[in-house]
Amino acid sequence: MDAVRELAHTADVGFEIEASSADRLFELAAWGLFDALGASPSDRPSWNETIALGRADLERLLVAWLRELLDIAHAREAVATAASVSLVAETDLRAIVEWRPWTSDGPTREIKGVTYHGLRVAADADGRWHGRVVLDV
Amino acid sequence: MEIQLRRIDAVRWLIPRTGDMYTDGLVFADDAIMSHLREDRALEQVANVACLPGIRGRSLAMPDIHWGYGFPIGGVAGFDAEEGVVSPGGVGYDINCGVRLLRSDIAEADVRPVIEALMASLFRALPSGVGSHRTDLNLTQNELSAVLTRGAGWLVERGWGREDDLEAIEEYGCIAGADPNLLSPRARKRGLNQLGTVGSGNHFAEVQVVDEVFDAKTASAFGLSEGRVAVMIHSGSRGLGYQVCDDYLETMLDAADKYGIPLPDRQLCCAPIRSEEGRQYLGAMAAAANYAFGNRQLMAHKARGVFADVLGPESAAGMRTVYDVCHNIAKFEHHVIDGQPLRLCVHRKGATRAFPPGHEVLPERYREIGQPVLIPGDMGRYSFVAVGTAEGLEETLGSSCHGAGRLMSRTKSRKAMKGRDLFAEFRQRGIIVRSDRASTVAEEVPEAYKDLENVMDVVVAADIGRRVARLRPLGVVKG
Repeated sequence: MDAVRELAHTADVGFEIEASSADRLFELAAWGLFDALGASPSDRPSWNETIALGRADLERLLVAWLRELLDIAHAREAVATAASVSLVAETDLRAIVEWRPWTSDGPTREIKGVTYHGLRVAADADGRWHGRVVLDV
Repeated sequence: MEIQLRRIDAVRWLIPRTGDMYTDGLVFADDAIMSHLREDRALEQVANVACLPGIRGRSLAMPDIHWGYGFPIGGVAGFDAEEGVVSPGGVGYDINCGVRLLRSDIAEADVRPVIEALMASLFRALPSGVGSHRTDLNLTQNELSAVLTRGAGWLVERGWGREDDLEAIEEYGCIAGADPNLLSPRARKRGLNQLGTVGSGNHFAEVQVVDEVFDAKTASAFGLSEGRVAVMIHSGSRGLGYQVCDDYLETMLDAADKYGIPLPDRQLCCAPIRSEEGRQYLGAMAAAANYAFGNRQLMAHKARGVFADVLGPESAAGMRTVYDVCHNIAKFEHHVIDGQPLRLCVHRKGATRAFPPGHEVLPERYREIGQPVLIPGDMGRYSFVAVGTAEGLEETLGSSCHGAGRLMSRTKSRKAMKGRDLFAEFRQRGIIVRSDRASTVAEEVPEAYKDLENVMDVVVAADIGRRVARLRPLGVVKG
């Protein structure tokens, strides 16, 4: 079953992902990120944005994706409420993200960065995808 | 990775050079600290750092070592200025996160009756919390460039501080070689309205009292005496610094490929110091570090203003900066290793410079006594002021610990504190906590941290620092 699980890390915060595809892994990673950020969507109108990214490999692409989401979140004071990700050749990403302004409470946690520490994106022999992300908070 | 560990003495453990390691690892820990270390991968991170090219001396871990990303928190490593590398992972996201301590002549008894008003005013004067920013100061691009280039000095020149603040700041409040043009527009934008803000997480501004003096002569030289009030500020370069780290991690990943540097962990990506990529990171990092010096400078100035308002201008007049230390930084320093004088780029990631008496870079007022080492603890117990030692200069590149280190993850701590009125509990203990976020306070409770006293025991036993004074909190501003 596709899932995001919080990763026990003494100093920082992280999550592990299991997904049926790489596209789905990237989508779930977004939820892991926003869960860590701790902001809630308000009932104000939503909007869609397209994100297109290219990186040398899948791991760098995952980090770039999460950083981009974090940047948009802070710039627009909003949380992603839906995301549809399409990966091409493990180096390029195109996503349509639905955003909604966060409530006046804002985020509960400051995420300093999406790290490469212990980063993992790989498929197992059964074709299930596994990911791990550690955030510096 | 199987980590071999050989005990040297009660507080020293060697990770012998094996495999791709260029040198040994040396960890300062007693049995209790080591038992925690065995539960995570911090020791592996010490070994990973030893695999980076140009490392001189050992890959070091201070007694507050814990699992970080890339370098362990508490990690120290020196890289040859000619043949070594520089790594953003050895500095961290919060470039020049550090601590400033202001001393005063104010007695605890004079603060107690007004502590509520004092903390309310400090809470207003020092914006804290996630993404906190100032509404009374929005730097122009030119002003931002001035802070990035000149650090705390620019603020003092504008009247936001005292001349004698500067000599009591590591590097005199300005790291040379900063180049504001090496920052991305995104990094610069994040810096425009965050100067003079605490931030969130473990950052804080505390009103403290000197609880115990262990070394009267040194404490006196630092301006500290029992029963007198002090202000400790813990913050860094805010979003600007995080962005610089993010931006240059990408540059360094490409550089590591380009220069054929094998990476045991991608977060250790790096470039030769003498490469264009290395030069650029060092210029951007210095700019972010100067921003952090400016950040703490403005907060110190604002704190003095609050004390003047609440307790009178005479009370605030004695609020001199004891010192301001960096604990996430890479800096060029001269050290002697195996009898050989070397110029090194010393990375301290969650570690504090701790230079001994007589060191030439110390300001006149501390030249004979040694550098004040500021070690913040948790918000309920105590922080320490220590002083550097000659033994530390030799063994740890003049470094010591930077804090207690977490015992419990943030999530575990939140869960454990659920249902408790922490603000009331702190108040009962005589500590006024001001924060917009109960969740942050729940993550930062004393139970979530190791006892700093135990870490200090190891520091003292290893001779990498001497206790000077202990301070306990009276009031805390948390993000």
